[in-house]
Amino acid sequence: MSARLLGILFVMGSVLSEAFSHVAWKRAADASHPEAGLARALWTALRQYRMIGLGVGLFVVQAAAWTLALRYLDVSLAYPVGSLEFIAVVLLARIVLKEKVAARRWLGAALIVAGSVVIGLS
Amino acid sequence: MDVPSPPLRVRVPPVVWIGLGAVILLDTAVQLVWKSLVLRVPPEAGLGETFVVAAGQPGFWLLVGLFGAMACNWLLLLAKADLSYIQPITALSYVTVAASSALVFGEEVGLVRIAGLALVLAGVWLISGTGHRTAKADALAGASS
Repeated sequence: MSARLLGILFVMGSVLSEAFSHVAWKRAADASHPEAGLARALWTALRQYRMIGLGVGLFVVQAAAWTLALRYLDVSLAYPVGSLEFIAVVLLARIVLKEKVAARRWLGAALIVAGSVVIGLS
Repeated sequence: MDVPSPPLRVRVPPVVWIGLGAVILLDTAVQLVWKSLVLRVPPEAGLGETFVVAAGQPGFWLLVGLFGAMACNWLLLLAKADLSYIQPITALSYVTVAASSALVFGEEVGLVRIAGLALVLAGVWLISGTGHRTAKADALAGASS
């Protein structure tokens, strides 16, 4: 396997682990009532130990995968590929959390990825 | 007879906008503090030495505090809005980090990068016009009916 392909696989691992960590924390945050006060909402979310722990664990995996990716890839390539996270999060929110994603939101996420690719080229 | 017209867009509560603003500010602060810590590490240092030198500075604890504040603020935002709404909007920090890096560290921002940042801004603008909460609101409406 080439170093470039290995690096891209690590970036994809980083993207997926971060996206799933957001989903885990969203699950924890959803334990509170939407109209709850800020202090109560935070306290309720922090007490969802399993989801909070899963999110933190996945975030550590993400950091490790990203660090490894940067050993094999230039930042100018890793950065745009990593921006696929914006699509992955919207996709997981749609599938796992059943959020309604309008066409306008998909288009917005796609523009952000396109912008990140252009920034990566600069 | 008056027929009420449906709202063109759902009003996003101020707490969500304030939370998103805090995400952008905290993220920008984290990047600047992080960069200032790394700048004091000798270029030839390995990963372990980089961590030891960075962690030995007072700014390291500021960084830890900023991370804690970011985590709490993020959880609160997640309690009030869709993940697919707030997470892409955090891409605004690309713009603020680029602008503040140019101001603080004198980094150059070329035309290509400005074009990329404009695309990011357009994407964020599109997303900001969609409803901020869908799944949880539906579940609550179903439970109360």
